Amino acid sequence: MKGVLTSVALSLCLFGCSDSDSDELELVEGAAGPRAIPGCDFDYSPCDVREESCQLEKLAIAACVRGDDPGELPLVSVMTEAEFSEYVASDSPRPVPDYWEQAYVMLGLVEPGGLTAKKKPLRSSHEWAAFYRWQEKDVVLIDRGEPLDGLEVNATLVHEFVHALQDREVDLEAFALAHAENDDVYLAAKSVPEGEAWLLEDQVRAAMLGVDVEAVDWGTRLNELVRYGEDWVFEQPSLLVAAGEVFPYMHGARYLYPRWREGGKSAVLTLFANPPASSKALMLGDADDAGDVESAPFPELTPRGGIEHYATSNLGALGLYLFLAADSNRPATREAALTLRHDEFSIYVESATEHPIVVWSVEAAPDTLSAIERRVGELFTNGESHRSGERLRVAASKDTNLDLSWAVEGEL
Amino acid sequence: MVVMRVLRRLRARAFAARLLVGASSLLAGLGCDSSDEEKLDPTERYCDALCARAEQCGIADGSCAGICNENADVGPLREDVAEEFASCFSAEPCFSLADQETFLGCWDQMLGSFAATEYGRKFCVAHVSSLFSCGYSYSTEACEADYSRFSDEALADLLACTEQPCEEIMPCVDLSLWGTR
Repeated sequence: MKGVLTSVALSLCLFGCSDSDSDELELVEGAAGPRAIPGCDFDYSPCDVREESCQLEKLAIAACVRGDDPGELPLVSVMTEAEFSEYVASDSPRPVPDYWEQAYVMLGLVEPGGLTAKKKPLRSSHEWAAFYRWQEKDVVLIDRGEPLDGLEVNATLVHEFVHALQDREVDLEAFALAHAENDDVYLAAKSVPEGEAWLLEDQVRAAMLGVDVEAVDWGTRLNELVRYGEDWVFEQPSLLVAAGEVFPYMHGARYLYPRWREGGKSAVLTLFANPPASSKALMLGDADDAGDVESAPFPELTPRGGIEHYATSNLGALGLYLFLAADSNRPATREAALTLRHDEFSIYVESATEHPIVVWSVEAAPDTLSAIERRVGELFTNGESHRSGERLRVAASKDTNLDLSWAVEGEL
Repeated sequence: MVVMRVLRRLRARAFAARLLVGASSLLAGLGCDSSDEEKLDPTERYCDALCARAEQCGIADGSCAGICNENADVGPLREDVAEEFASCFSAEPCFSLADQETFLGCWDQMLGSFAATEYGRKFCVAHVSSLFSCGYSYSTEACEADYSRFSDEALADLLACTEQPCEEIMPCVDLSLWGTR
């Protein structure tokens, strides 16, 4: 079972683009205006994305910057905000009781209700301008009764058309299912389609703004967007949810950029065949430096006293970073998180009380393990830890009477 | 959630505050010296218009022009912009003449009203590219609307700001235009 990243059909939505532009981007009469991307000589002016002529232009642009034939225009449908909220709620229902959410809340990674908050229109749907559905093969625009002719919604449409083009070539649903073994692997893999779509969308955004794409220092821009995205994540009440909305796009684009610049679309297709395996690779910006080594799995546990295993996933370097950085120095905790080699994040449930028990097994540098122990000590009165060399296992529960000794016995 | 920096409009409040310098002194009211028909520079044009309006309103004394010329600074503005600026607030009601919001309103009113000079266009190409590289979204059109109010000389000073590290670009612009960061 997967935790946060349960949504499949919606997983290629573009975050962060409002349906209308801020007045800072208000266009005025003048000589300035869009500047075509070299080799893709189209009209980059924002247009009403509900009109077919506008959609065709944006598809042509998306295909050109990707190096594709535009082919037929994908179906573009429209949902009202209410329809979208209903769709999101039905697409990714949460289990009851939601042990994943309870576990993440215990670690301070999600606020209570954080995983179900996507059902609330004002918490998510207002932030979405459009999304691509790989099952229906359509692009859905969210219509809030406001004009859909601004720069950002035009850029978003390009993003979604990139997904449509990817899907024709790669089969995005199969790609997602093939990399769903745990949250960290899924997040890293998702950074390929989202990173490419963001990168190309951002080229088009530059063109629409009148920026010469060849004069842009893209390495600096992507680093700045990553930094700004992380700042935003740490301002949100549910860090893990917010990170899921930023990480595949910004970190993904930064990861893809040097490869795309060198090898173009074929380099991106190579990444589709062999995506980065962890959030650590993306945080480093280069999978070659990820330092991923084969780690032996952690020994299985034998719980006692009516406690049963519920599920296991992992948090990865990103989850560890969020966990450690919640109230401390971010650059230092980022470095600490990047020493992660392997982790397993398990939930056990005590049948009588239905309280979840979190068991987190981590292999990382000794200082990182110490930081985890300290943080667990701050968060829980009922917490146990067991450390052996560069391996650590911590177990914690909100139930202060629960015996957790079974979780920290034996070898690591 | 917009995880992308969108550049705020130029910081006009500090500029308005500088133009307002001395305006409170005008409220003593005995008419101002508007006899000087020679308008040698934008500051004098601005002060002439301000003092004339203050006189109409009966809130200026003879020291108006002197105070204004000493303290107001429209140096970064184009001459035609300074003149238009003065005309704008000259039409304002007397009770709001010394109100900062009035000046800000005139400032905004001129947004996009002046065609960019050739130098202004070149500056904006460099400026938006520099800002885009730093994670901002700011269009050449918005840039020209914002910066066409400034003289080529002022923009020449600003051009150096586009070469600054990301975190220094806008402070550099503020310092260059407003004399403060």
